[in-house]
Amino acid sequence: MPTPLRFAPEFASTVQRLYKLAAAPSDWALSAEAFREALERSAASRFRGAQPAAREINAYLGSLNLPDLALSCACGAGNSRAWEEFISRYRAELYRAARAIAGESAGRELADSLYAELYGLEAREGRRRTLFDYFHGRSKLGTWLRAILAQRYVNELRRTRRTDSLDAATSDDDPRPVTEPVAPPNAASDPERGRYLALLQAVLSEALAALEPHDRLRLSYYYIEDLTLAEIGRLVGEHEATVSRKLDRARRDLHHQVDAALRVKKRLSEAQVQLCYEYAREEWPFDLTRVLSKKE
Amino acid sequence: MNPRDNDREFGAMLRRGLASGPAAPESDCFDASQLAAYYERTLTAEEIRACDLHVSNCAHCRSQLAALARAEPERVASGSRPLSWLWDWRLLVPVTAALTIFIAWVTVRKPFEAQKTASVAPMVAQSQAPAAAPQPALPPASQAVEVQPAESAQAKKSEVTASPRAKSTDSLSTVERRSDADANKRLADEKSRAKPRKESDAEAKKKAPAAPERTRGGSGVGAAHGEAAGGAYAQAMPPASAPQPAPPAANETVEVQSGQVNGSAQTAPPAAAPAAAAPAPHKATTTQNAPAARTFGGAAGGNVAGSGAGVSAPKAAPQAEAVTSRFKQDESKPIVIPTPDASIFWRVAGSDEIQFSRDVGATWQPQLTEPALRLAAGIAPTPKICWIVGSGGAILRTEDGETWQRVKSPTPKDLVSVVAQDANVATITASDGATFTTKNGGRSWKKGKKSR
Repeated sequence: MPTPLRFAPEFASTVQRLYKLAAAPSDWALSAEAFREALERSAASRFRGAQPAAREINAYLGSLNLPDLALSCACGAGNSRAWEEFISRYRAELYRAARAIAGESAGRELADSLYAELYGLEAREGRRRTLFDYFHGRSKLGTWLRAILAQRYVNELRRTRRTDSLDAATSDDDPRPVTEPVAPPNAASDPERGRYLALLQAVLSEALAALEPHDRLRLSYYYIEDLTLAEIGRLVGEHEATVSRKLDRARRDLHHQVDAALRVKKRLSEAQVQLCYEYAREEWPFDLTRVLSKKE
Repeated sequence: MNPRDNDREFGAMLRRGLASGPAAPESDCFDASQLAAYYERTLTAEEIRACDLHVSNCAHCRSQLAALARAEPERVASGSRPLSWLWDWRLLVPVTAALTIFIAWVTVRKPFEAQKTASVAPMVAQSQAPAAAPQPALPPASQAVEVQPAESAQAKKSEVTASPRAKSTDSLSTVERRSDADANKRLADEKSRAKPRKESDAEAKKKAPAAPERTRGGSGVGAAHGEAAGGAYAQAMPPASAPQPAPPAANETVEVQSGQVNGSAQTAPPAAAPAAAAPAPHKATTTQNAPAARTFGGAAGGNVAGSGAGVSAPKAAPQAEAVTSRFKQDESKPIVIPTPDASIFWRVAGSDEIQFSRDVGATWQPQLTEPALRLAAGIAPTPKICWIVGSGGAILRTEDGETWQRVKSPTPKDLVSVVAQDANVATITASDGATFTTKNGGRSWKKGKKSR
């Protein structure tokens, strides 16, 4: 949790105005002081030790989702009414999102663990620690909860994969490492095969490295994360038709660049370029980079 | 190698290449608060740029964001990867083009259908009017056209009112041609009658060699109105025998009308009634004429073109002189005056008796007989208000749909047409082309310029 940024006295009226705008019900027992601390935490998180001008702070505070910040403050303080409100608003959504991310059974487990941390059983320095302290009002509370679920799921997945890979590598069931490529039947027929694959790999990497970040982002979401066009559109702030068009254009451009580089820079003939693609296709679905590194 | 396979394997290579890319320092990784704010894009622009840069190189944060995106509540409803092809411009372009065409078609069609009903009243009022009297474009209840006595204004007004009508009529012919199941059959019938009609046209031209333009157009103020009003019903116009003056006013306008309408008339199925063939009874008391549709066709068969107000009529009778002789008033044919209410009509039977129908012409009730008069034209701006003019400057008006009053006339000459917006505002045209406008129900009249 970032060290709270103490607002100067000149912000008192701003804080008071924001507190009114948050419109926390009286039975949440949310004090103006607790709300000010939440705002200070939020500002500290945003500016991270920098010395922002008063105008910047005001602009930032004005952009916050104040009602959700008030609810999180009240819940973090353990107010039962606020918790009832939170549960009625977000419980179903939390479980639904967890199931959508992690599947039926793992999703429930994921949501349950999150609940526990939100409630904050652990106390330190006389104050209960809760995940709500990390909600800064920069988004809706529901989106923040889904973001936590997503982070936890991905972290767990990465941890599990690392473990699984090690387990698989030492398993007796299959002596072959999972990354070991199966050589295609005619792998040894062309002595130039390795060179063609290396050329293709180099040219492709070069073209990918030169991609504009947004193009790279769209391609990554599409090819690596397997997101739909609508999902990519939401992530990059574009309509799915735009995403589709730009994806298509980026892929076409890349293809042309790779073709041109193979022909012009690497001086390959049309037949040789086709061989590059053919060999790459035969290597599918194994990791080309590993194949190449082993062969070379 | 198949280009698609090539793309696929290139995608697989990208997957590997991106996974083995540079790694960002973990010290810069996000905490949950930053992660959520970045996901919600509530950070400052500078922060977002920095975060984008970090995430593009940090697999750890990227995975967390991906998990966060998967946990989004609307995820189920959002698009999935297999449907991404829907956003391909190669598909979107033709789909968009088709949608545009469809919307344009609907847009064109709707106003026409509204006009189909609405355009009846003013048309009828002038169906007998050989003079170039100003015409309302829409039913008086909704019309914005103000009658102007000036000659040029008249021409302009005629142009304004006639053009859209003719245009929409043309549209109608197209639409109806597509939608009417009997259209082809009726068209075949019509073709079989085409020859006598052509002969009749030729005969009419001989009769009026000095004004060939008008034969198609000017003398066809009536023709133009009749055809424009009826559109597809134009061919159902009955033969009319009584000669009428044919002032050449608004020739250009009439030309347009006639041209456009003729175009539609050629393609549209005839939808008129056989009433044209048989003379209507001169003085019916309560006439049980025909089924509604037929009676309406009778309107077309009288001195009035069909309205096109969604009334289906039996097959047309022989229409040998439909186009050329309708300018001549035939007193044996009733003048039918539609109202904005599709079921309510007035008509002038035998030139001196006003009759009223509430059932689309299935039955007619006599309301007024004026043996001394020869009533020539009428208009009903509302279902209860009707103006009728005739010989000797006669002007009759009802404001309640039942009681008729004589309105003080500004001229002793025969009146040939009337246009009215309501019970107070009306413009009449005399046989010498003079026009008179009242805005107070006939208490005073303001004379306009003669139409020629």
